[in-house]
Amino acid sequence: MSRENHAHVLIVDDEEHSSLLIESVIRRHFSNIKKIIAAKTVKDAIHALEVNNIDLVFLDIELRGESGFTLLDKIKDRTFEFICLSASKDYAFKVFEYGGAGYLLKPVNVPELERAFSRIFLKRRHANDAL
Amino acid sequence: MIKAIIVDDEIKGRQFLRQLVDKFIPQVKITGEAANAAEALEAIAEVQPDLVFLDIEMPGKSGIELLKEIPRINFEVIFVTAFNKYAVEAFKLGAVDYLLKPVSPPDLVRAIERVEAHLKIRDQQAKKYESLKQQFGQPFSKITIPTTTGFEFVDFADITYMQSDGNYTRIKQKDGKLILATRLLGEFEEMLLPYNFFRVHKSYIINLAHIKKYTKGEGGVVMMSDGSEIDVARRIKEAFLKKIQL
Repeated sequence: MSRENHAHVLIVDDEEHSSLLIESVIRRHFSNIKKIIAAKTVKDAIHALEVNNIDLVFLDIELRGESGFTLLDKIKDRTFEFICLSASKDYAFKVFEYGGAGYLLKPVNVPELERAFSRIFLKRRHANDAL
Repeated sequence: MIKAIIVDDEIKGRQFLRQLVDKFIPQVKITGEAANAAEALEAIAEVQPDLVFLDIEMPGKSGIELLKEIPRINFEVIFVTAFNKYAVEAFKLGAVDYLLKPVSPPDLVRAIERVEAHLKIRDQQAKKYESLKQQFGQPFSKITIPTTTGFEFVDFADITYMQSDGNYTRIKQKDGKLILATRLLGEFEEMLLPYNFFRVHKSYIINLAHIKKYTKGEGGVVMMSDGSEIDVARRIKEAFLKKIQL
């Protein structure tokens, strides 16, 4: 697992503007993020997770023709945290069950995104310190 | 040992959860119960719990309204409710888990594992912050600001103002740089009291050295050196004017 000071983020979202917004917020506020990868499909996301040490995934639930939950189901021994994104409130309870670290309604509100992100990185940093 | 309280308007709900905890979760001790928001506030103040099991729909204030009223939440929260429709709000409030009634033992075990992980992090963070504070103190002119990436040491004089943002604080510096601090605004207030800062509003602390203009009004508005305009709360106006000796 990569250390917090070179953390890697994966954004799984089929809408490019949403993906770009998340990326710009991360770049603006969190200079410790060394790599941000974007994927539009579950297949691309799985590939990205296989070849990179991803610490955090932003996961859109309603991808074109598929569900973000499919990605979570396919990953065994998950080592990353994830924050889900959706235009609907309906999946939030399920995200708690899956152990998600946050749930953001689309269109994403920047302060909320920053808060969710900060919360998780604080958690990750201390978890690393404990190793 | 994790100290917990149960907040639920239904006595059966409280009893059921208590039995479940007693039976399956030896590391948690239920040290208080509350049937509504007012009782919950009392119990929280008295017990200082590590964890609160919180029902949402209760007569009077809901569990969500209750949490929003607490200025500093220094315990973990597991919502326990019959409805799944509040889960988005629960995420926003930083709840560790969200369980549907009747709670099943495996769900409860999962939730407590998450609580333990959170409490461990909270503890490490507090220790680290204390040791840094002891090491650097508030030496001469710098303030230690915990951020998501570590700590920043900033000159008091370089801070224009601080703005509350939920559990975080945005710190605006005179060069325009913004720091997102992982501390509540209220915690900075204590630290900054001996210096030339003033809380003009529940969401703002300003550096009096950076005031450029004050415009009268109900509470009035201050303009800072960077051009930002900040409202002065009505009830604070008098104290504020006294402070700047008008």
